[in-house]
Amino acid sequence: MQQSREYKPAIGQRRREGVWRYLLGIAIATAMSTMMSPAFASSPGFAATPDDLAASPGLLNQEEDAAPVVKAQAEVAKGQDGCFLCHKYSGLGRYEKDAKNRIVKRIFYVNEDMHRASYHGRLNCSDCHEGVDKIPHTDAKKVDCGKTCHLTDPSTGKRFSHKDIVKDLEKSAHGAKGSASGEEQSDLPACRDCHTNKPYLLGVQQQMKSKAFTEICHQCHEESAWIQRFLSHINYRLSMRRPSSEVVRLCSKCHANPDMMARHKLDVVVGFLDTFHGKAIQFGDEEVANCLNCHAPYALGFSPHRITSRKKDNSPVNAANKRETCAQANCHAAATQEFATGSKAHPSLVKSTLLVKEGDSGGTATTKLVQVDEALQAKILHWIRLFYQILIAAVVLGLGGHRLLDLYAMYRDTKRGGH
Amino acid sequence: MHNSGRANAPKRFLVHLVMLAIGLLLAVFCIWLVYLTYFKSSHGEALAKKVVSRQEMIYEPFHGVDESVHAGVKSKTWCLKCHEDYAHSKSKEVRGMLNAHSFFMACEVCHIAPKEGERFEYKWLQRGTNTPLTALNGRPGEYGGTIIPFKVEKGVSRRLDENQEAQQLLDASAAKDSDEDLQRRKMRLNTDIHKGFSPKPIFCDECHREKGPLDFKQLMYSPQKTQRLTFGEGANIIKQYKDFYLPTLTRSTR
Amino acid sequence: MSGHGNNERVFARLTKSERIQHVILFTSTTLLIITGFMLMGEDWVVRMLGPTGKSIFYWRGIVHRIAAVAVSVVCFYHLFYVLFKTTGKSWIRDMLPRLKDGVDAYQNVMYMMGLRKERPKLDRFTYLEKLEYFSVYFGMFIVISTGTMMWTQSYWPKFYLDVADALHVGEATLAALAIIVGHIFAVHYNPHVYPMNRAFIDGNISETLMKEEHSLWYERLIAEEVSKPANTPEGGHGNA
Repeated sequence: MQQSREYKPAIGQRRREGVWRYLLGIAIATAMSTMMSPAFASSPGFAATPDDLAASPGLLNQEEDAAPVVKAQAEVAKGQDGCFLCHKYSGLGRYEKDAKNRIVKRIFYVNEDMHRASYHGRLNCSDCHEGVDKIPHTDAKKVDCGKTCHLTDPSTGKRFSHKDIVKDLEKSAHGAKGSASGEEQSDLPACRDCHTNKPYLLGVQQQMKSKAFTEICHQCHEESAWIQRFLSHINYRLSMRRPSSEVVRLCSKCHANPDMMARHKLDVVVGFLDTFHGKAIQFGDEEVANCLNCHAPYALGFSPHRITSRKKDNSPVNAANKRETCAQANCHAAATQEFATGSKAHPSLVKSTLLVKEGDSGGTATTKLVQVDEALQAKILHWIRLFYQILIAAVVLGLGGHRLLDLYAMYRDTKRGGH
Repeated sequence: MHNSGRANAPKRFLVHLVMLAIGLLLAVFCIWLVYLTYFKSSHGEALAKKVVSRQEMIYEPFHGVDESVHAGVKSKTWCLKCHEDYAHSKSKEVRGMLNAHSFFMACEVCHIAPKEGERFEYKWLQRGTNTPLTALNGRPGEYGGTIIPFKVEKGVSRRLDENQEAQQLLDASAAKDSDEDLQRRKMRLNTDIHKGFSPKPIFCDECHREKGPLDFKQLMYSPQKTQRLTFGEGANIIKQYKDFYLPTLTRSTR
Repeated sequence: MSGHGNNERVFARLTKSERIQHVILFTSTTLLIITGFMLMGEDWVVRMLGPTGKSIFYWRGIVHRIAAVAVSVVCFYHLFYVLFKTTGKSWIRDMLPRLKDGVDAYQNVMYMMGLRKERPKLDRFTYLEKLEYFSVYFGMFIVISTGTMMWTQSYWPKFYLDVADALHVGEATLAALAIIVGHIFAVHYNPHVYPMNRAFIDGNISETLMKEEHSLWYERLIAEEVSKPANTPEGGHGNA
């Protein structure tokens, strides 16, 4: 959890600072409660809830010299490189200045059990954090997610690596090669801007409903840690990848940030939450489209790591492909070309001109470029709302005033006794 | 009331009640509609505002952290009003490690050193209830208590982390904040509050050795753990690294 | 026929057909307002519903569409009613705005402010009732047309749907507020009729209320009665 912070705020500023910290507290609490919410925890492998921690033996009540109760974890812990001697302390952390001179909170605490239960739980710290052999770690290199790991890919027996994904990302709109030339490179997202090392092994027995479930596995496979990991992996992959609200939150970190979008000449995506899709997501519906369902639809074989500009022919939100994107997975099966184009799915209310291709509903015949003035569209919508705001005020004040006046007159009449 | 007739009183009361309830319901609905039409900013605008104010909160910790991090420093003393949860920032080499200590130790443990002839004792006190802990259960540092220093004078031990004067000063200054005499008050506060503190804190090697001011056995650490804390065995860890920086009294940055 | 506690004389105000139209109109409008504004609900409220929210919102859509069909049918039937039925023709004849309505409005406001001694004499439909009635035409035209567009969304350009949405929401808000502030007040909370004007149930209006709110109509009916002593069912006017 990162937070900006002033060093030792002057006492006179404390009240203002207090409000800011209060808001920040709410923000963190909200984020935490989202992370810890039952819906979140019930999907396999998200953050450990206090229940999980209590339910998993060895998670609490564990000194580094006390034997952890979970066998698998104990075995791996032996191979540890001693980092947890210090990194087990939850207070390990500091405020420091980052590359952009912002004061950021760095948390160096790692919950070992959560790490062991995570995707990367089989790895030791030094497998990713190379070159740490000094205290303080002045010599630590930045973690490279694209490096070749010493684990093997069970499907090929080759050494495992994320480098293909890193290459894909590089070529995408979010990568150094795929982004428009001259764009501010430091704004481009790195792996960890979207991914955290989620613990998905916690409470695996509960997820599998019964112990007997894993007993069957034991008839052929020996190691229970491996079985748990395998099942958790499959279970996690079969379920929803991320809740829609989290996807929206994630993309909004950058795409709803006006400063950053201005640097990249992109529209600020603020209109999405006001659309029907956004509304349903806020209501907790997981079956409507979030950002990724249109910009990287799995159903059509796209990946979030390969998102490209909508101006590119192969983009699912390119005018030529939009109809198919809307019609995917029976969302808007009857979508016509007119429905899919003609305006953005999430109006940004900025002045821009959209080029769309127009064709018949089959999407085959005539395609001509039509200019759609988004700013004018936004203005028209604004006028309609303004018209109703005025009309409603006039009607309600007029009618209400008339009724109140009438009440007054009746009261006056009865008082006068002339009734 | 022309058509009310001679209806009996309870019935009429019920009618009034129902009409009142419906009326209130409708009034609330009307107010909500007016709010929707005129005062509610669109979700997008609200989001944009939120993002702007939080634009520096870009990263979440990559590794799993539990709520103990977010709970912050456990001894919620008056020091935190200014120094916040990660208070140590000066000494670059060890500030992280020092912050780790302050999650479960009162600031005064290190920042008030016993003078010649003074006797201090240190106890784990349970948070909230302030009763002494009977055993250390939990994750390291997360035993539900805080190490509190006591000063023993004439057989009476007094808590060193309670400074009512400082508390009052802070409360008073928070109550009437104006920019005018800010600097003056800040200066006064600064000297008054920090009066009792030692200019030099207790250094790492002063405690992490045998027969230091902190009696680890009395603080209920196991013999193994005590050995590690006094670096009797901990040398193994230190040997793993080419360079192991441990600030000592002589190598002090101050 | 009485229902008014005492044996006060009553006059026919609404025919059976009109009452049925009104019942369908107000039940479906209520449903439409509730199910429609659920979409504008605050998300924390909806999230509180938990998993049931999903089925609630599924039924929300269905109920909204059923009520919309009902209200559309009533509206089109009403058009047929006022154009081709005898009672309907009399209704629309009395309902059409005329110069007197403006004069009435001015005089009534002056009276209420204490600048005039007498209330103006109002006919079968007062100026406010006429305003409400024709507002419904305007509103229904907007919501039915935009609602149909949104129901058949796949065939419309996205921008037209945005416009339809804005109009639909605006008109719905206007209608809901006008109904509550104008109509519900007039027929329930107005001291003359509190707790309710029973005309929508039995179709009758009491003599006292006739004198108070429709004195011109009352005088006309009495005059007709005097000239034609025998009871005539003409124009739906009868008496107890």
